[in-house]
Amino acid sequence: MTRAQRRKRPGTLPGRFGRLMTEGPGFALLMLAPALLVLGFVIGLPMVKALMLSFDTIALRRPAAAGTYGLHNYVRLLSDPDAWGAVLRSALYMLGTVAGSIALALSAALLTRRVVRFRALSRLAFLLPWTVPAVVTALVWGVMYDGNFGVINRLLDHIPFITGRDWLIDRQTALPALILAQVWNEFPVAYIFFLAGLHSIPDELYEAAKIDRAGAFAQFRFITLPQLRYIIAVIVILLMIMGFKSFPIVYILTGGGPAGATETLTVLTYNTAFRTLDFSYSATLGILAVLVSLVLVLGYLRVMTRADTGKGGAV
Amino acid sequence: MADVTFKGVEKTFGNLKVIHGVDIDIADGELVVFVGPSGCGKSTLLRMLAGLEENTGGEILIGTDVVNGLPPKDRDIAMVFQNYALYPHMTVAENIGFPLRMQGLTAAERKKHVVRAAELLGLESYLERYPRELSGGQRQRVAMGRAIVREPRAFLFDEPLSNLDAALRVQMRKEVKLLHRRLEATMIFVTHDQVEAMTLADRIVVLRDGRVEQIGTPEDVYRRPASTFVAGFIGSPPINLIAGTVRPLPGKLGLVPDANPALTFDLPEEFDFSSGQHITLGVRPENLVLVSPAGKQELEGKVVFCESSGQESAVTLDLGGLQLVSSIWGEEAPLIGNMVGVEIRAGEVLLFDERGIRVDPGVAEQEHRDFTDAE
Amino acid sequence: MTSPRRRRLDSVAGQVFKAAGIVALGIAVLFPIYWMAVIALTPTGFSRSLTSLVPAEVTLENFVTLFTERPMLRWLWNSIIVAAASSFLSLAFGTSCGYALSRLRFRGAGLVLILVLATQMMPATSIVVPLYILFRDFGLLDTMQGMVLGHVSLVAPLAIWMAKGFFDSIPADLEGAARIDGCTRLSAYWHVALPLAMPGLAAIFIYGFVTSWHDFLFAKTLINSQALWTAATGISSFRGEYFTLHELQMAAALTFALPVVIVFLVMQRRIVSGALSGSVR
Repeated sequence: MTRAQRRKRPGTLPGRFGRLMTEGPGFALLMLAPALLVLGFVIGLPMVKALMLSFDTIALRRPAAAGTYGLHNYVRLLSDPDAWGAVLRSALYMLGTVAGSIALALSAALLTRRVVRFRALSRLAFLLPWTVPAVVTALVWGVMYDGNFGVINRLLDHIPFITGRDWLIDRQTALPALILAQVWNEFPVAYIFFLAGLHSIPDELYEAAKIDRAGAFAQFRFITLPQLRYIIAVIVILLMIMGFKSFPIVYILTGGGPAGATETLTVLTYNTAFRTLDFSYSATLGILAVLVSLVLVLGYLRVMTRADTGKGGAV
Repeated sequence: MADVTFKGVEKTFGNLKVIHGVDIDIADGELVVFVGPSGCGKSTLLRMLAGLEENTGGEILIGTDVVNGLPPKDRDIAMVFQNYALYPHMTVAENIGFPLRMQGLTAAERKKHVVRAAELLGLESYLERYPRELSGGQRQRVAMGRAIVREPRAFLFDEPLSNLDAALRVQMRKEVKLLHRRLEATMIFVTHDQVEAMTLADRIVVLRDGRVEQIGTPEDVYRRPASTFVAGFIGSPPINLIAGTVRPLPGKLGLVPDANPALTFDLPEEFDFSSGQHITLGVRPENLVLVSPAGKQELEGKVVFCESSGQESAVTLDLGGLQLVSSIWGEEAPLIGNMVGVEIRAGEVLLFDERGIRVDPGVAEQEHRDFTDAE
Repeated sequence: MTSPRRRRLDSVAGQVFKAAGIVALGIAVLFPIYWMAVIALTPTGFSRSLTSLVPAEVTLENFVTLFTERPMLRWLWNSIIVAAASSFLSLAFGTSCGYALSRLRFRGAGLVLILVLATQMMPATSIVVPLYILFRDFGLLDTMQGMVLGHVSLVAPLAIWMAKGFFDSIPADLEGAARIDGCTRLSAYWHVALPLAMPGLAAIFIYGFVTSWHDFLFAKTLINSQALWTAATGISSFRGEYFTLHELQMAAALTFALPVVIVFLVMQRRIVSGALSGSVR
């Protein structure tokens, strides 16, 4: 084989430009550019637009005010009880979904971890709600919560001292009712994590504990929980993010009502834009939401790196 | 085939400098082994030669071409990786034929070369299998087949045998050596295993912390190690290194070990040491002769540990705090707890100055030694 | 010390207790799905008179109504088009980006990664409001193209992040070997990395498809005409329209949820084992 033969290769771009694009810094550009351009268009541009909107006044009620730039939306945000009420409700919603999901997922994972017979079936049962779309979750729970004919009230009829009510219309129960629907829809994510976490605890630890005469509770308290602590941290943040983002369940079931009792930050952002038609203020609320989620993402990254390094040292 | 030259090669990762100006000349057709403990930079050097990493200083030449900045495909080299790096989605034949496919050879031409390479390595009956269906040794052969199927200017081996079990490792070592003899090709082989280095190499490059410690034939490196580091790294059981201070004795000089100042070792007369100098005396275990029972020898030690591999035994002795290892062949090892006499075989000592650098007779005060061998 | 017999009894009791727990919790968790099916199969208007937890009379009339009197088929078809197009586009653009993030060392790589993660995790409501204004200016509002683009903003970050994960699991030495064997970086990606990532790319496509299929917010905001609605928008409208006709609502919900549930059942083993091995190390 001669050297001249070797130099000819099929499918390569010719010349210096080809070399630049297939090997050098051009290659990184070639690989990154398409995605970055698309993301720039569908995410970057809207974010810039949101910033511009938030300093502008684009609102149906005051069409003449368009073009008056300033910090007025932010000033309004600082003293807007509706906005801070929405932040509080988002926080409650996150808290409720995190606590509920973890309790449910951990119980399910502890129960099914060592199942031998019907293993796949038992896991499937706790994963299935995950595959149900949020829209469908909203419809199903809406039907079950129905004050007149809902199955929940009808089941409660058989239990003394507890009376049914119109769960989604009652100010007291609307938010918890939504939280329950969200928990049902999203706890399987935590369940998978817990199953994986429990799976990775070496059996020797439990055997050693048994030899040291630890009972079931002591094993849970001194082995399972400490071994799961990083996973729990990851799940908490993940569920917080999911709860914070949640939109369809609240929007479809209550639209933020009754009288704003379930208006979370995402729902308020949406309603401000498409009900009140104040796009500028809505964009401002959206930016507030982005800032909150950035804090959560940073927390998530921190926990993830901790979990990586921590686990490396522990096991 | 071509020679390979490293000229003042440096590598920096971020702020961390891992290769500090390495110079190596490798002749055409030579089998050179880079050896050193993990983290010494041997794999980095190889990957820089391959073009998988860029050197941040100096020059690398293949033949007369400076290959700095050239992508791997244009360097015309072949490499066998530690984890074999076989393409899992291709059959053995496709794996071996891949470099030819990239050169634009037709399927028929490729087949001819692939079959020839497979015959050379005894892989004829596995050509249609996938890597996951092969044993470790067979995978290793496929990786070698992929390297030899074209005629590269140099073959690079990055710890290719370290994933194999002991018996297979010896077998494959032999095959690499035979392959080298048959192809008469320039080969660079990286390993952390000094036995592998000793048995394979025409010349050995001992590396430490990104610097060349010594370059030489296996014989050189074993008998004339440039430093205490090389002496300690090459040889098993490892050399006895006795650090101590030079003291005058009647008519000659002696070494008083730090570990037991009550002892004195005679220093050969042809070395010019000055009294009070801190030096290291090295004795290979096979040059430490046991005389049992202890008689009129000057040195006497207690047997504290003994490891026997059948024909060879490594006996650890305690000389009042100074521990020495002696290896004995074909005789029965002494019992633990016994006192035995110890003699150093005449002339078989290595001496290192306070910097750990070996000194030759009569040149103890030399200014500077160049570690690379003379041209 | 307890006697061996006593201990065996204890462990049997433990097993029974556990099994009972699983069954009880499982029933509670699966009940909404079961109830959805029960109501969907009850004749229109009769679910309110159900007196037990099993259907008194099973019928498919709700589904017939759904597909004959409402454009359910049309909406499902729209959903399929949008989901396929947006996850295909996200895959096409995201794979190479994921590869670059996994393999290449370049300035700003960490920032790109965090940005991608952040966009995936921030509320979509923050994007959709400005996107609505932009699309109104570009004339993309109320078009399928606009909705596909909107869903790309949802799916692409996911695709990039997942693709990076899959490439991370392929040993980099394989591409090193390919480059030595005569490949450029680009052809090593094409001949070696991409074929090996194929199963992962299929998984990304499915995840992307499901994400788009499930989306409610973008579909609701960016589309106005009923003819262009996706199934998610379509069935959500039933809550307002048939507020008291639970049977139709549930039939629509079931129709919408079923495809994803079937995909999940088929791929269940792989999803679970993938999550068990990959997500937490």
